[in-house]
Amino acid sequence: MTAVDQTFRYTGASALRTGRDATSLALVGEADGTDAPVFLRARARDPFVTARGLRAVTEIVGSRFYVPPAMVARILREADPVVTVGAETLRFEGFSACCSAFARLDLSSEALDVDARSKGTTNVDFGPELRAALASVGRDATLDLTVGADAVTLARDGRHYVERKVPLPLRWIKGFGEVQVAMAGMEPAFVLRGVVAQRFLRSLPRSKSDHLQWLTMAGDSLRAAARENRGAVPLRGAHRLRVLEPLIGLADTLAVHVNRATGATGWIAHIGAQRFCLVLNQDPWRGFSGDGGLLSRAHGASEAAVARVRAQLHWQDRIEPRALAETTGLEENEARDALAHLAALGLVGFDLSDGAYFHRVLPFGGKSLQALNPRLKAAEALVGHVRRVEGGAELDSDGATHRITQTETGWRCTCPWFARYGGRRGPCKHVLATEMVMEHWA
Amino acid sequence: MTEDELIAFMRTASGPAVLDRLSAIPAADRRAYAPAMLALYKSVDRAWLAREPAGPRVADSDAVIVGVLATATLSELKKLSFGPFPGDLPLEQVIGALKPDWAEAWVAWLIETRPILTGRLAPLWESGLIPRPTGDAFILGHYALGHFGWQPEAHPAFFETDVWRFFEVEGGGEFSLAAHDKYANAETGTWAYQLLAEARTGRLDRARLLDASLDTLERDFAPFRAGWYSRFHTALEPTAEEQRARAGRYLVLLSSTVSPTVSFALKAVTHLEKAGALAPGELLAALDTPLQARQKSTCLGALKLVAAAAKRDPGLRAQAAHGAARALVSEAAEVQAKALDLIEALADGADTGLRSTLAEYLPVVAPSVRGRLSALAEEDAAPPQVEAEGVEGARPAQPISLVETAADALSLFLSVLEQCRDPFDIERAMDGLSRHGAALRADETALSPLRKRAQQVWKNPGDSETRAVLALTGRALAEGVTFDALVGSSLHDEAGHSLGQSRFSHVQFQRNAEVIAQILDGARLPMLSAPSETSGCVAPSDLVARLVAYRAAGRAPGSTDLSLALLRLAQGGRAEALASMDPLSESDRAVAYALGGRQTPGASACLWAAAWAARQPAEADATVAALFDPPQPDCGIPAAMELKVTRSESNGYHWIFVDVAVAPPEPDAPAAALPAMFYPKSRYTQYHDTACGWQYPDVAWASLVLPAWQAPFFRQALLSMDTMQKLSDHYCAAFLEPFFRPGPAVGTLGAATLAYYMASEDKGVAALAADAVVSLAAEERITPCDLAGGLLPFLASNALPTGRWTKGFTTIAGASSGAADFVRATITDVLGRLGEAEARDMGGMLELLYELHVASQTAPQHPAALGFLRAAGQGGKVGKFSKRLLQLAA
Repeated sequence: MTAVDQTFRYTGASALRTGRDATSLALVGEADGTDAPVFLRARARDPFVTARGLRAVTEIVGSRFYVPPAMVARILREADPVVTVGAETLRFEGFSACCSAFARLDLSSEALDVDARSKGTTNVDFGPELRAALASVGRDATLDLTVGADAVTLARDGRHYVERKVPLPLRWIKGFGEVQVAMAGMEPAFVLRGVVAQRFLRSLPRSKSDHLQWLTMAGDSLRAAARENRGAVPLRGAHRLRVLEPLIGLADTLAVHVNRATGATGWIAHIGAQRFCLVLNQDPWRGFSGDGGLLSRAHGASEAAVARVRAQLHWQDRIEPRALAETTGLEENEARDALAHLAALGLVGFDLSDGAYFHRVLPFGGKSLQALNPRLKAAEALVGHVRRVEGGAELDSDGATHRITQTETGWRCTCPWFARYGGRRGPCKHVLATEMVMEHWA
Repeated sequence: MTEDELIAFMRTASGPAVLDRLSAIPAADRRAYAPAMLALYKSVDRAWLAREPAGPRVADSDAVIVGVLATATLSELKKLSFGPFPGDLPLEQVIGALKPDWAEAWVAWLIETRPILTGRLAPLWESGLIPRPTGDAFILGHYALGHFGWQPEAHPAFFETDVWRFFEVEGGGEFSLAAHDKYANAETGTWAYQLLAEARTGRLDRARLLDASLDTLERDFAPFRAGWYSRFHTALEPTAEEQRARAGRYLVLLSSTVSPTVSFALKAVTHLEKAGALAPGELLAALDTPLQARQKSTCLGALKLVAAAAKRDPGLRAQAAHGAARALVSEAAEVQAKALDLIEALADGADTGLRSTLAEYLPVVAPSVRGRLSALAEEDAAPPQVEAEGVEGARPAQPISLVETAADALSLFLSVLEQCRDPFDIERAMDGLSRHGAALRADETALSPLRKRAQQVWKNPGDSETRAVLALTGRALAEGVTFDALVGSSLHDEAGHSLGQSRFSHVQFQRNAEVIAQILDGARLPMLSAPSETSGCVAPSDLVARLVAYRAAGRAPGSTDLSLALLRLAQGGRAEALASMDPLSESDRAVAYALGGRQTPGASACLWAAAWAARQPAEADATVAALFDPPQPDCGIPAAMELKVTRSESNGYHWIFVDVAVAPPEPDAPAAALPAMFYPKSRYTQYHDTACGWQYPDVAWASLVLPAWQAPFFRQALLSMDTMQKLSDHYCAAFLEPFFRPGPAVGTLGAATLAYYMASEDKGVAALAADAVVSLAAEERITPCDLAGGLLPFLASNALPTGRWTKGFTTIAGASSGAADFVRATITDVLGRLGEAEARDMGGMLELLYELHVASQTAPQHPAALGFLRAAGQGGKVGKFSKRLLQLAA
């Protein structure tokens, strides 16, 4: 199975309507019969930024930054953005069709005058017409925002359902969970002032560029070099940053974060009370799903710990492992592992600016992302073949005997996967199997 | 009718006869013949494709096609290569007679997968056999057709629906309006021409076309495809009244993310503003995007509109000043200056918000306007001291750590088998095998992953010869056999690739074969050629110590390994190493000779050539030269190299031709001596074939052959580069590797390589060359005079756009204050040596020089450069910045 058929079922099409006093953006969420008819009814305080931010999120959703040779004519819009209405923050998330870029627009409570709020997560219908219409929202506009299954039908008589079936690739669903862990492993690299950030983005090539660049600060500016320097941030596929261009002229700052283990980068434009976060995998042709950052952690979390942490989520906007550990009586590491497990299940996202998780439920049918991971499944199949030897373990796999040894930098394996990636893309199936057995031996 | 009877009938009957026969049989009954029909169709198809005269013969190929269409299911049809379409029989006649239940789905699938078939399939819906298609692919089919394809009068649906969907379906690749019209006859064959003609006749509503094209421009189509709609809208020649009615829409389009759309909208808005059709406040609010456009002309146009809005409504002066500040983000100093002109004219000195905004731009504006901006912002104008992080001064070579255990050796070798881009890792891994391979051989279990993986890689090593050699090395070690036993004396991998005897990958092959043979004999000795330090050199004391170990083990060094070690010999510590030697064998004597001792060459010509090449400075030695007939460059006779850069022209095209002539000239039959391998006489020179290979790992490994004297390697670099070639992983980037290692000054050919590579169209290579200049300048391994000398032949040839070097120099200057000084001195040196006739397209470089002088508060003083500036013409950018530079000098 390489894809899951996801049916997006809406009560109508989202729309932007210009009224006498205000422009209304009605974002129709999925109709599952259980959610509140309206998640949010609010007025945007800076509609120009909100409109541009929403366009940027949908641009990521509709993008395929890498097109495999066999897919030249098949550029699909895979899925709709996901909206989470939290206690304080409204978040719009999108994931590119190629699984290499993730975007989220966060609107804090200062960005909205909220009339009605009901916490929850839903997909919202967001077609190209709506995206085009959002371009007409100007600086002086007044924008009313409604999110919910009945967002449009509130203003219309009758109800009709719009269904769209999209085969969501498993790697896309897995990547949506994996990107949260990639963010959790990031460290701050630079903070650029708005004008400096704008100048930097303008200096990037307009066309597709797959050259690896290394970014370093030079005075107040960001400099792209072709070779790695001390503290440099890797960037490949810089054309993906173009999605920030319409926003960067409005931004106060652009904060750059990097995950040193995987080379993924996070770019956060702070625009008043709104934040636009773009996360890029190091290689445009490689999805987040293959990073394997979840593997060790997700299988390391006990069911009991996961259950205790899950019971504490409560649609919180800010979930910190340390505080969670205190609340649940778990060790901090256990809490982190449990959160990683929940991220794999699509139950929490990570907010890079806050350095904390937040509760949301990815509306993709509640499939266990962990169970879909081929590396984890392969490791489980190898568990019975692991033999304990001095300094580690060895196991027979595919006609060779692999040795897994503990070194100063972690596990080492003699398989081609480890030889190629080291620990950069998570543990290989042999190390995973050994970790599973080691827990048993311990 | 039996199956055989039907086949026999079809071989002789005509298409219409078969159609009559099969259409008389009910569809469900016909289905039984499907396997036979499909088999016949495929065999006829194969025979036709292969031009087999003895293939199955049929009187009329339409008969077979009718047979397939009459019997196959839709899924079976989808598996067929192309079609099947009858040649003479009308398709609608066949489908009409057979009435298959899949006709509609088949047509939908065909159009979806091959929109180009739309015209061929049209008769099916024109005759009412299937409903008219409606999907996006159908519209792409129209794009591909390029014309209405039939009499428009008969197809009202085209004008009622299809043509309007042209404004909703973007398409892609070859199927778009822009792609079609780009190559169609501009007079009559373009879609734009045809739609305009229909608009003139009134068949298409002109107002709707105007609106629809604006609708499309709001959809964020890709710039290339969006351009068609803006051109089409312009070609409709909207009247002033029509433009006025759409004024709000043009204002919205000013915020488009598509640059050509912004330019288009700006033109329309400019007309409207001149006609007084826009409210100044609305205009100002809409100019945000064009004021920040990358295109200079768009920014300047937007600034004019800002000025006009402020003039129409003086109450908006403050808002206009804030808007003009947006244009300061432009990279063009000219735009920044115009913006400041406007701000100075409009600004209210008490506007603290504006001052604060202006201060934000101080780090990004050109030095020439920084003073003015500083005065307006009331902030310190002192330019920031830019020091890029990670740009370091001279780095001494560091010792390379040895692989300590057998497990580490195996792990490192497995790693380089997957990733062989770093030649130091390869050499460490080989040295690790050389030392620990015998121990590994005793542990079959440990070697099992290597055996399996090396066999896999050997079957498909990819294009890198280095990886093929490593796979062979891994196999030989794991299987316990020599290279000879595996492949003989020359290497052909299982994919059929062979290693050229004249390429350095063959040296690697021979050296690794020697190492493996030694391991299989049970020896645990270091590899002689393993670099001792990060410069890539072998320390003389290390080489002598390794030879002692060989002598103690009673083993003779491998000849290739020793030759390579000699070529890598470091300069320092030679006298001490020589003093510690007791040269007994020919190998020892060659090493002693390389270290500066007096020795008489022996019979091993290749070994003595390597020993001679290791002696620096190179001085001719007739005794070594005499070992080679004919004489070989760098084999006893120092090779003299001369760079020649010319501009070649043909049929209006021009290109650069680079050659590095060698004396003594390369012989037709070169010797196998390592130094001579840098001078292959290749008949493939025009294809940039060199001894170093054309994959990154191969070139990177070759860069370690002669680390202390890189001129021959840079000769290969100059011959390899094709400046027009753009690759996602350009192998020429590996030619720049030596610049990032500790090493000697770059020399003439090194500087020429840097200059040439800066002009590459491959952004990765050009950026790497610029980075190399930054590093080398910081380490003082290159002077401005060196780089200017390397650049001059290329500039003087006028074979490449000067703007590429201007861009490179701008990048270098941005790295640090020191790098900016280096660029300033380099350009000055160039000007001093460049003849007036040779200087074309130098305006950008002079502008950069001017800004660098302003930034450093210096003035040009080089007499020859001042002479160039005085002689420069008065007009254009060259004249403008020559004058400014002379003013600075005055």
